[in-house]
Amino acid sequence: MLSSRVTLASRPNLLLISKYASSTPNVKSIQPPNPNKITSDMVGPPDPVSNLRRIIFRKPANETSLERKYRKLRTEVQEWNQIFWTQHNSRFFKEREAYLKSNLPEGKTNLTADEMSVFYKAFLDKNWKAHLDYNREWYRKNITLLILSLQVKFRKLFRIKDK
Amino acid sequence: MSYLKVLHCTLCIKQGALNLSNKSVLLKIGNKPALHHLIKISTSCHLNANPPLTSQSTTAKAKNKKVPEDTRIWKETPTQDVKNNLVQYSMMLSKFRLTSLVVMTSMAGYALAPAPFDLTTFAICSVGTGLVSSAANSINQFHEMPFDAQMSRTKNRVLVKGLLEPSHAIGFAAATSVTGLSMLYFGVNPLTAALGAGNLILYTSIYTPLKRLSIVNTWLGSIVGAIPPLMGWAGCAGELGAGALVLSALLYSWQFPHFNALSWNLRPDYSRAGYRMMAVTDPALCRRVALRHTGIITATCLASPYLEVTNMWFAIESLPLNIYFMYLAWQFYKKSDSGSSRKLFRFSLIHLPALMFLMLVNKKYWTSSDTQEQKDSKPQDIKHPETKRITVLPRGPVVAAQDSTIHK
Repeated sequence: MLSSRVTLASRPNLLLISKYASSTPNVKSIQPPNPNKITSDMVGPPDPVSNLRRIIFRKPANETSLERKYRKLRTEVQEWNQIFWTQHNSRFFKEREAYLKSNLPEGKTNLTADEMSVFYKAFLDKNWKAHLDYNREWYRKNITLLILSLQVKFRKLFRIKDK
Repeated sequence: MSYLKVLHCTLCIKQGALNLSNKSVLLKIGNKPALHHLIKISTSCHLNANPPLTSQSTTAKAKNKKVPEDTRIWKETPTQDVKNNLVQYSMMLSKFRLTSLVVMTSMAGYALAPAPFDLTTFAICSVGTGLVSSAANSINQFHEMPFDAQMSRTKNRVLVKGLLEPSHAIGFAAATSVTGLSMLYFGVNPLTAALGAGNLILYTSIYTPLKRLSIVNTWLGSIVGAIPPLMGWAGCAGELGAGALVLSALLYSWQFPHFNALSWNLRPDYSRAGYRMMAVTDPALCRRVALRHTGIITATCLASPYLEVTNMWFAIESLPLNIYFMYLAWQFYKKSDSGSSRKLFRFSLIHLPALMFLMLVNKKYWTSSDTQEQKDSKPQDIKHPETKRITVLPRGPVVAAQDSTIHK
């Protein structure tokens, strides 16, 4: 019922569908991969707002507690980063629009670089404290992740050696 | 089945109408809110329809790769082909073009030092400097990954794209810094190694964090650029004399017109990414400082014969180069637009190698014994070097006449 309706609706696009169907890997890759089925961590396209690429972390069946801790921390840091930059960049574009709206003379579509630079300076100064806090947190988190990653790699190396 | 639904949805988005009747199918895909999926799907469709504009780095990579370009949306991270492309990835981690320029300045420092030129030490010093610079750049990329992602100039770096992991970058940095510093310590001398280690710490632990806190970073970053020639000089002569400081001062001052011009067109990116640069916080200061330092470069070059680093010819030969540099900086100061900044930046890339070349062919003392003879005999402008001579430029009649009086 539903399926037939769908097929009918897509009849004009049948050729298009078969094209996509033949190159299934491309179509499959549009959807984010399943953490339980992938063989390695997968990195996606850059987020249009935050510019950061999302990583789907692999969840192996025989995950040790250290590996799980590492994966959970990576996920947490990734989300924290995504949230910060999404909010920050949205604020930037919103304030830029507001600045343009209030300062654009009639008939012009763009301000000169020097006129815009007033806004850029103001935005940078306004966010100095936010960046300071973010930086401190980011350095701390990044180094913690590095240490964990080295521990995980180290343990893995030893396990292979023991076999 | 779900493929069809997805395609239909993206076509709708492209045509501008958001078809919310597909909501039930989207939920089947995952637990994330519909908007997330819509964003992802629209992004991936957008990417499928409009392949990303190839930047310089990606075209370079495409030229080197013998396998067809990977066009998948989701890729393995880290990439599976690390072992096959070690050289490429090392070049990317080390910021190869920047490292090459650093090694060139160090080589110039070595060649300009008033001590015998030893090919082995020269090679070890150059490679060691290159390795330490690679380590510094790798650590910098490790620290700045989310910021690099924000700026168009840097968004294709390996860590941003997920081609390599942070632990790869740090492993690479550890290997290159240990090898490089050991080469400098055992193959050259401890002073060079100490300068290298100091520069590494200055760049990674002081300059890199400071970029986000204060414009003082530019002045400290210029010191980072001025140390490699000191390393080369120390590698040859074993100590730092007045001549070393002249070359260093030239490199320190050069950083300002170079970087200020570069950063001028990146103001929107720097502002959004949170980097504190003069170009954003005080554009007038940015242009003033660039102009000021081209003046300092000219003055230093004119003074270098009096400081016993080069002969008089250098002062004359470098004058047109420096005057043009000053002219471009003046244009940048007056016009303050993207055209003049780009011209200044591009010329700075020619100016530095040309200046170093001129210093090299006009150097005053070829060995330390020359300095001793100078003190004994009447002051001359040029003496025949004992070990090697570069006679690219014709020597003036006055000098040739003086030479003939020496060799009676």
